[in-house]
Amino acid sequence: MGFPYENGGTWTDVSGPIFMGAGSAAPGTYAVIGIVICIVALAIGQRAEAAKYSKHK
Amino acid sequence: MEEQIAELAAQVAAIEAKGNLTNTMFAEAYYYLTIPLMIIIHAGFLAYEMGASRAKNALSSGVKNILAFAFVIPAFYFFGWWVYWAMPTGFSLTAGPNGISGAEYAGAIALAWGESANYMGPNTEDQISGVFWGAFTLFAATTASIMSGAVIERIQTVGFVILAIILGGFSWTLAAAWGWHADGWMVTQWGVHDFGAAGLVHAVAAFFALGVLINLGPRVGKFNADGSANDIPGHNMPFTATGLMLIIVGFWGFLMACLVVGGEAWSWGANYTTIYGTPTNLGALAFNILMSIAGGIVGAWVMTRDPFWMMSGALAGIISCASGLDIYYPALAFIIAFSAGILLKPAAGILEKMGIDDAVGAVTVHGTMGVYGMLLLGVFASGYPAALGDGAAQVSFMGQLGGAIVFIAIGLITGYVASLVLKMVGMLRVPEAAEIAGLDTVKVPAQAYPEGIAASPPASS
Repeated sequence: MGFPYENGGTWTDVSGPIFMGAGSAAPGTYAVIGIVICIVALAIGQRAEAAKYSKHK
Repeated sequence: MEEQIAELAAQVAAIEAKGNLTNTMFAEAYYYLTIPLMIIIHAGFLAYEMGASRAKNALSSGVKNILAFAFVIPAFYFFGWWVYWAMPTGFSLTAGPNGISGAEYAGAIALAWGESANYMGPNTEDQISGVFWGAFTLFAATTASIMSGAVIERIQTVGFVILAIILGGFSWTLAAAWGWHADGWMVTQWGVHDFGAAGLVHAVAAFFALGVLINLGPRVGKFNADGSANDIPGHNMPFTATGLMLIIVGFWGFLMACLVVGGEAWSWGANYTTIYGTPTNLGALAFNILMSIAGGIVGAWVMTRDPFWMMSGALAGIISCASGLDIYYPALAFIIAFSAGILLKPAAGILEKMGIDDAVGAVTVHGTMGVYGMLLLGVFASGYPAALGDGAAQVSFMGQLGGAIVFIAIGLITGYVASLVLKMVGMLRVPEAAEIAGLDTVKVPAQAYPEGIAASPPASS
């Protein structure tokens, strides 16, 4: 956390990647968490859907 | 004198720098604006499919569309974009002749981790990756929406979303890598030309849907014991027709995004080109899209007099001309689209006679007409260079036929296999009792029409 550029805490002369975590392992970590969220959301959705269908067999 | 020349040179350099920046910002804005335009396609599919559903399934059909949109976006971010850049030369993952493909290249620009992440997030020195990715993501989401209409009123929601992820993240992306990329092997070797994605978006998505429909089966009550079909009308034809019109509006963004803007380091030249580097411009699209819409509507009107098929005819008109919207003469586009409008309903009838319940005619509109359009381009544009540069392969009927067969195979095989697996694990079709009760009642915590649709009392005098 914290502003990572070493130029007096301003945006002056900052160029290139400007997203949080640039140049670190953070993007990969966020990507993995995002993928896990998608998979878990589908699993929860499937469980809820199957429960609804079980009442209409 | 030397000082004046130096000052003049500095002024020219400054003007050139401003001009370059303006061009870069224009290119960025150009693709950015295609994204909301293409979202209109999804608004259209949402209205279209809810209207084409019976009232008891209206919201359930809409939920399906909303979720397909939501899940295809991250799927394309996490792996679909990589597939497009990694696979143009086939499964070997090697670099192609232009050096903008293969696993190494894709790994450097299209993954959301490592050094590649620099191209997958905000970057002041990269004003194109995000908007390119956004436009391609909307192409991907469109494939899922094309499949979506065919399977309404009996498919499970999560099973459908998984199919949408496979179609939007892999199947169409593979087709695009092979046939819609300057390094694509179908372009370099067969001369496949599919400017507006008649085959690689529309046909792939439609034949994916056909593969799913084979495993999914028809809706309860669609076919009689003797094999004859019953019509199952949707509950809101005006909503359906309006949705179709919205799809057509959105297609202007879709086709706009098929152009490559000129003047940038990644451009093919100073002016607009196709994705293959061949010349075209927005004027070509304006001529040919409008004429193909008109031709499709007129053809379908002559054949059916039915507003559903007339609006579907507009779509079929665009799709039948999509491969050559960059180079068709507008009157020829009108003729081709007219023929597509004529063929549309009979072609849908053939599918129905085969026992396939395609609820909205998606396989016919997008699949049959996409293939039809690819083949006609092979006839009319035979001998045209398919890409930029000396020695480029030429468009030919056999090349277009081969390309269409590959696109059909990609869609059909992946759709069939994926849906078969879902069927085996019980995630494809809803139980019959749930289908009969209505999917809104079974699983949607909201009502489409809580007060019904009652006639208004007469106005007081």
